[in-house]
Amino acid sequence: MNRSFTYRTSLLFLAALAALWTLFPFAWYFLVSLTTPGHIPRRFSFPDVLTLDSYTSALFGSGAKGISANYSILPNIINSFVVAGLTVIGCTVLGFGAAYVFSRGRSTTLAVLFNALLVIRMTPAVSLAVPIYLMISAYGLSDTHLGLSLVHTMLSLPLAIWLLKGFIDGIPTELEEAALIDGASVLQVLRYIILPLAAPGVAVAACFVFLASYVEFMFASILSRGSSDTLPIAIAGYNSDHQTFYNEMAAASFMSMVPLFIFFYFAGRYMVRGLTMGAVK
Amino acid sequence: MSYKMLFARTAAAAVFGLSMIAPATGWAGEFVEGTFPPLKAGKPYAGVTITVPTQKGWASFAPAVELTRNFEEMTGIKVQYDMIPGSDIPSKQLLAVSQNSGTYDIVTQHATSFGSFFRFLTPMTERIEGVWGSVDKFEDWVFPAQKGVKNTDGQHYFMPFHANAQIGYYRKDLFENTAEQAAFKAKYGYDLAPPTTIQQVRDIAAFFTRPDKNLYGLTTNWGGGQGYAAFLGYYSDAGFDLLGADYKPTMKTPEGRQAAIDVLNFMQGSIHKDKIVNPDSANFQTGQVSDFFLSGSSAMAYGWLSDYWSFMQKPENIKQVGPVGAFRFPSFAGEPKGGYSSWWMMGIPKDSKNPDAAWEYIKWILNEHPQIEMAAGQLPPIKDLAYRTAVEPGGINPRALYDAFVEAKITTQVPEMSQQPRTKGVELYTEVIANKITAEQFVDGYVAEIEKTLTSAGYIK
Amino acid sequence: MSHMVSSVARTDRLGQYLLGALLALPFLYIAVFYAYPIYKVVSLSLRDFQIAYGIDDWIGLGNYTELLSSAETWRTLGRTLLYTAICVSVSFGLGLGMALLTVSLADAFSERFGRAFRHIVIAPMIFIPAAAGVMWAFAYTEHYGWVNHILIALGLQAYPWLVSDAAFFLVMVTDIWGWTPFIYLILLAALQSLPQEPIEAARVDGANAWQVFRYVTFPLLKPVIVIALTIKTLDTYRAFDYLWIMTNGGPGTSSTTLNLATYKAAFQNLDFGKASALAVITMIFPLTVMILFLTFRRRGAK
Repeated sequence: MNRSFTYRTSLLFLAALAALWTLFPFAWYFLVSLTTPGHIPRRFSFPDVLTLDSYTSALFGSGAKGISANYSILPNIINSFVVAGLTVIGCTVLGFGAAYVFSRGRSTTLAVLFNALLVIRMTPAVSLAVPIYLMISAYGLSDTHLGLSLVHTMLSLPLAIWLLKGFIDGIPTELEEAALIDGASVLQVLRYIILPLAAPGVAVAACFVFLASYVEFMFASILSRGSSDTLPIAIAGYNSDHQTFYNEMAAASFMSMVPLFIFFYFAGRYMVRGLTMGAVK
Repeated sequence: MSYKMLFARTAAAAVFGLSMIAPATGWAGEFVEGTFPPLKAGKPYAGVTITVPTQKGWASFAPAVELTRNFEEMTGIKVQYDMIPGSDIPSKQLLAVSQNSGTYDIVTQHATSFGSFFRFLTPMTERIEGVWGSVDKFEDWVFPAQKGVKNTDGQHYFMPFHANAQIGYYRKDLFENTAEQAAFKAKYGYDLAPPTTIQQVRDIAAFFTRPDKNLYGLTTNWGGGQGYAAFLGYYSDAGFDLLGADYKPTMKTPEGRQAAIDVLNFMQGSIHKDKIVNPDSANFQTGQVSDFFLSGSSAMAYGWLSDYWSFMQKPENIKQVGPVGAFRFPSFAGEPKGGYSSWWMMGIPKDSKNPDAAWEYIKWILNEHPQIEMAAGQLPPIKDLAYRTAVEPGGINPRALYDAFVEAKITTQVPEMSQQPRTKGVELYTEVIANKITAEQFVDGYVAEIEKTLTSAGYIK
Repeated sequence: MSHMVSSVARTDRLGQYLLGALLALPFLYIAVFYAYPIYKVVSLSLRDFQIAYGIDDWIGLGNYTELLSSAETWRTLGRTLLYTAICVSVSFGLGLGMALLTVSLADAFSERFGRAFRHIVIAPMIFIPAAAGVMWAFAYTEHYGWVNHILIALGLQAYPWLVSDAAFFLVMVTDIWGWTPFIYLILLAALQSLPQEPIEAARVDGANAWQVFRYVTFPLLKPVIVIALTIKTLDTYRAFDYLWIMTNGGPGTSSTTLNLATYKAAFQNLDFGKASALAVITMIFPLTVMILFLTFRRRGAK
């Protein structure tokens, strides 16, 4: 009924508006990443120089511009991956068994504990900043990968457990019941039955935990004193007191998209589940 | 400060330059004029690792980092640098030393926030006497600004390693263009030249402001914290310390109040009323100022620009601006009284695990080789060396930097000033520059905050 | 543990202990890294604790009375709620609109077209928030930013946007840009899994598009909307990155929310006592919402 020309045209018009709204800021910024200092358009126009120089100088640093303090973001990429990797290990190891218990157990205590996780996830991180800062420095762990990943593990643990529980819920109980009757121990059941079947779910949960740590800004900035700066800190740091590298900042921003892009490509369909902590599947 | 005195010093500096040829190693006892602090012979601290914080992305410190391997070879001490983002320099180190964590063997601070650190540092007097013979000799060796960073007990807790001041840059192709010169003279009745009064800054900036041609008269670092510092710099260059002898804010006196209001009105008006400064200056830091200036969008620039001096002397880097000159930014009081300066210092915290090795490092960084290498973009804190880099022919720094610095004072600081009043000051300042409040409102709010803080801390009775 | 039922209950005593241990593991961790800090932040909020000056005195509710009697605290609270309200409602409107648009596009053209549109709409999600913050801050500069460039091309004056009263609202624009895809994805997933029969039935009965949405689609979507809005509200309330990177809470305090105020008190003024009191005040709202949400959900489940 509603397939008239006007209807379809107005749909297309709205779609174009929406696309403009989401993509235009990117497009402009992308052009900036392809120019060099002095060639960013001063008025609404196309840049006169297009080059990948900013990408190489963001990646490897550059003294070529005469101001040698343009730093390479490679160490920051490594920091980000190490911290996120440790966080993934922490969340998976701590969360997997508990997710299994939450999935199979039925009791009020479990329900309360499970909801408590949601409260933790929703607590403003900045409210914990002072005590966590004091704790991490008291253990001598500030400016270390381990210190930051301990905090990120705490922030992502609820999400990991909720997601893993959702995936384990989808595994039928017959197999493990049979195994338990045959005398298998709980650990054996977890290792040989649940883990292989839940592997895709573990991977998805790991991705979410990884990305949550990868993009986290506040704790990364509080706990680092420079040498363990993660990528978001490095990107924002391109605009510092004494120097500003607009082009490298843009180039680094776009390079930082890569892990998120890969994730969306492979696991995009689990996105909604992760965003709602499994409440919407 | 007169130029005559500086020229008179040239002769002395020539002698000084000759004495440089003699290596300053392996000597002890009396401090010899024109030498540098020697390192201890025999590598007594070999194998020790010291942790030294410094600023991330700091171009003028980069040569010191490069040269550190020399220090490591000479002493056997290993140096590990922590590159802290500039805005976190005071807080991160203060938190580290106040928790007695032993994180740092050296504290690296600048003149805006050193006061908070005294209680966590060890005094330097004995060490200074051991090298220079007496504190007086040391004080004479460096710029007078060092006297301002003493603690109230009269002792030095910090050693300087870097001096810097805010200066102005101008485009020579515009200033030396005969058509521009004639037009300017016709309009304002005097010759176009780098400004020596604030009124001239206004005139020249207004003259060159041509937004339709993407040209502004002036671009400056009036954004956030740096803008607040710029304000304090103009205020101090007009002859006022922030605090009087009784710890009362000088902005409470009628003269101080008027000076502060003049400065703020100039800053606010330049952006919002006269529009002689590019609007983004209200949000700029030095890096952005330099970028904007280099893109050819401004006739003059102001900020911590000496970092870019040697960069801007190379023709391949300044295709869009042409040759660049530097000038001492004029004072609101007519005669400059000594502006706000960047005086970077290192101290040894009480919780340092290797205070003696840290002292070796501090002595090393005050030596000629690292100082000269770092001098592109900064001034050595050592008077004679600074003179050599900025005033003598072929110097790597602009003369204006030396002129701006030589009179600079550093306000006596009480620890409590660098946190709450600073945060409040920046907040109020950003409201002024955003045209949300008037200069008078700033002064009232700022004075109230300082008095509140210093009263509750017991300085004001 | 014996009250656990289902398959797990069939394990022996050892197995039960083991399961208990597995469950205890993350909660021990949470006890150390969440419960203890919460206890600590509450106890610190009762002290005048300024580590850099060696001050650490118990002052009872001193921090709270000081904060609550200051008009600035209330303004900050109001600002935080305003930020949350505007970002959530606009994101929700845009997200719902774009989700409906996606369904309509797929319907009027092809599934493929709908999917392509979906990819475009969620693009902001693959940008690190810190990067989005610097990108948008850059967009508002006079010399390089497209916002002022467009104004100038239209013959208007450039304006220092981020150093003006507009700054707070411009950060909201970034927040909306960055997080609309969140609402969008959830609502789209829900829309696509809706049962088609009631909608078709309504259409056959002669309902127009609005009536179908108002009386059929919307009620079906409601549970998902509640979840999405709750999460989005609390996430927006926690927002830190965009505000901190784009304005530092300025000019003045005009874009300082409770989060930023806490951060500034703690890590700029190094006043840990007052920062802790602010942190506790900050937590009140999300805790209330969470309790309401969980009660509501339990009642819904019954």
